[in-house]
Amino acid sequence: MLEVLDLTKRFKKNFAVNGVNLFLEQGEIVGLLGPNGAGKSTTISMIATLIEPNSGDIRLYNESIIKHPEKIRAILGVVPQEIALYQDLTAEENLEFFGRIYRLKGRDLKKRMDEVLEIIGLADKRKEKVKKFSGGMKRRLNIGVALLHNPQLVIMDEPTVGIDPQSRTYILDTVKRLNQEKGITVLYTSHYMEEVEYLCQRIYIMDKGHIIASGTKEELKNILSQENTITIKLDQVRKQFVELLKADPVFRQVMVYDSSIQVMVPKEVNVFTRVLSMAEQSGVELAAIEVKTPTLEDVFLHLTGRALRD
Amino acid sequence: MIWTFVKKQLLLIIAKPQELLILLAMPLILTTILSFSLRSFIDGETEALHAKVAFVEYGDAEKELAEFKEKVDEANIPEQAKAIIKEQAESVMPLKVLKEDVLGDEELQDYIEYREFTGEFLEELQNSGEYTALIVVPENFHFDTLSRIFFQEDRDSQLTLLKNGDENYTVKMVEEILITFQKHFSALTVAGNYGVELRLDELERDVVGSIEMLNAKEPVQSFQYYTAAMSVMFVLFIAPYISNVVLDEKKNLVVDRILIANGTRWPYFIGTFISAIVLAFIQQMILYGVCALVFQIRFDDILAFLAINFALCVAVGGIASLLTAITFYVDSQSVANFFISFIVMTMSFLGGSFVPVHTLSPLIQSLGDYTPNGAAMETILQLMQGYGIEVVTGNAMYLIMLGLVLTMIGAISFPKRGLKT
Ligand SMILES: Nc1ncnc2c1ncn2[C@@H]1O[C@H](COP(=O)(O)OP(=O)(O)OP(=O)(O)O)[C@@H](O)[C@H]1O
Ligand SMILES: [Mg+2]
Repeated sequence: MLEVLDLTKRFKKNFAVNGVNLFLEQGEIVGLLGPNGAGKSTTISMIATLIEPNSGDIRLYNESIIKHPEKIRAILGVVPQEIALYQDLTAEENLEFFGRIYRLKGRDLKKRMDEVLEIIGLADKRKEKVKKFSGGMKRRLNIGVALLHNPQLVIMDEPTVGIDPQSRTYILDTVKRLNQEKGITVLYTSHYMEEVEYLCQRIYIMDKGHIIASGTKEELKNILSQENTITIKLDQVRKQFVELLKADPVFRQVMVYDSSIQVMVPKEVNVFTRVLSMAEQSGVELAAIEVKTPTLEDVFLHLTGRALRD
Repeated sequence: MIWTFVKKQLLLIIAKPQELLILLAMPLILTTILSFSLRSFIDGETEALHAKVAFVEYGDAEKELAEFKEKVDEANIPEQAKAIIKEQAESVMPLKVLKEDVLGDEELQDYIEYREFTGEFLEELQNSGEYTALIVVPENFHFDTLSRIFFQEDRDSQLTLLKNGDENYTVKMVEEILITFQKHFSALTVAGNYGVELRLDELERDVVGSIEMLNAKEPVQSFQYYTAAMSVMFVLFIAPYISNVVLDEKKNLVVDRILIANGTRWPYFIGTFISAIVLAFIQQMILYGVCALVFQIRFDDILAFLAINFALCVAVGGIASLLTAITFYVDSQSVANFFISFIVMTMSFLGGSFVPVHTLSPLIQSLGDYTPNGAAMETILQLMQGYGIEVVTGNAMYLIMLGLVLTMIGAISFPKRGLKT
């Protein structure tokens, strides 16, 4: 359905998006995962024809939309990263305004407003001002506005930032429902692994303007099939112990937390003996050593050496 | 589509009473305070509307009349005509008409007093500055004028008006009287071929007419003055209000949303322009409405009043468009803040919203006439005095052109599709 080819966008000397390739099949939910500043929003803005790329192409059903933005605008709904709503107006007034901007009118508009309010579960709050809403309700309305014109493709830019777990679950389930019941194709951007793992069939991992990995959850986790993630819990983190760990080449990606250390090691290595002897040398007491099954978080760590979120 | 944007703007402003406070309550409060506290300043000018005029005459009217009569006797025309001309010459003696019938008019006497001097006093009078205006009458003025009227002789006979100061109401008043008066005399000359009787009738009726017109213009009271002054000042605040709304829309990505839905930036841009005009107009109507009730401010010519206000609102729409475009680039509220604290204040001062600047300096006044608020205010004050649509056209055209030009500049500099680049 949608294909992004070698897309590049530069702000002055800074490559926000650098040679990105990705595609979406009809009916998929695809995840775009990456830390702050990875270039996710910039990629989305180019797909939404708000920013012109420096090079590369975006093709919808095999037709370039860079020259003909109107082609994608009709079928596209975008949920912006910010609460792109009028906080001083009511839910209903917001929906009506954006509905009219989408050229809906009269009975059609009324009907779609009712449907959308039903989908996002705000039917009983329609007359309330947005600024009185909770963070979760605002996010829901933010999504609702993007659904008004019945789009076939919905792009969501971090739609769950800063909300309570309940609202988050509600939103994730809504996205799933929209996809399953209405066949809406979704590009879902996030820096929460769990969300992407839960929702998406396929995932792109983005960092510093590049796609650094892509595939299904399983494919991505297979990248880690050669390594285990180990969490070492201690009473107290000692510098000397960390240095010993870092000095040993079998331990990769050493991450130090308050009372634990996380490392990656090849599967065949006997971790326990090595770690025990290092602990003895440096005089720290081990509380536990845990071997984790890899998550996408670990995949990202493996690929970049950094955590996805600070 | 445009209406959707306008409606949104109206809903937003109704939803936020703090804004209404600045746009509506502030001007009303200031109008009241300034009208009371600066009453003597404005109304004082009414009392000063008293002109002292000096006639400086080089010739001798009686002698010239006698000479003219001799000339008539010598002319080659029937005796009966000679008698009529001689008789009428006395009653159309130009200065006599001016002094006795015009300046001597009972109602005008309150505003103008005159005295007569001979030529040698000219320099002294010029230096004294005691008189609002000096009317210099050259030698043979009467003789020449009479010859022109009755014999259609091409004689150069002109009064010279020496003004003391340039731009104050009293000088303008004298000037206006003289111009009207002079028009009648030249009309008389041009119409020379028709009967003298007829022209005389016309002369008298018209001169009287012009006096009536003058009297109809009432001096501006302080409440009127500050109603206009505050309205034209606070309408300027619509522009930064709009540009701040737009800045919010940009920051929280509402603009992105609108552009994705709509394709081009034009409906949005025009929507902003029209919204500013509509908001400004509603604001003005509310302000004048309240002032009509509270201060008894009235306009005889409602249509003219609406026209100049609409034109002012178009100019404000233009300012709003330009401010919006600049705000988009600078991406900060500082644009609106600078506009409010510096540009609005400067324009309001020049335009006369704080004090009547024409009393300060002619330069400031002519600068003020170019500000949209100053231009509108000048016209509105004239309308309050009872003038009609004739004083509106020029300034209204100027304001509308200004609004359109500013919008054009705003449109050209408004970022294209890539709003973030
Ligand atoms: N208008 C702009 N001008 C200059 N630089 C920009 C602009 N927009 C984005 N950038 C830069 O481009 C890079 C990518 O930004 P982008 O917003 O696409 O990241 P993101 O993946 O969406 O991050 P986040 O998770 O924080 O939303 C960043 O380094 C950012 O500073
Ligand atoms: Mg982003």
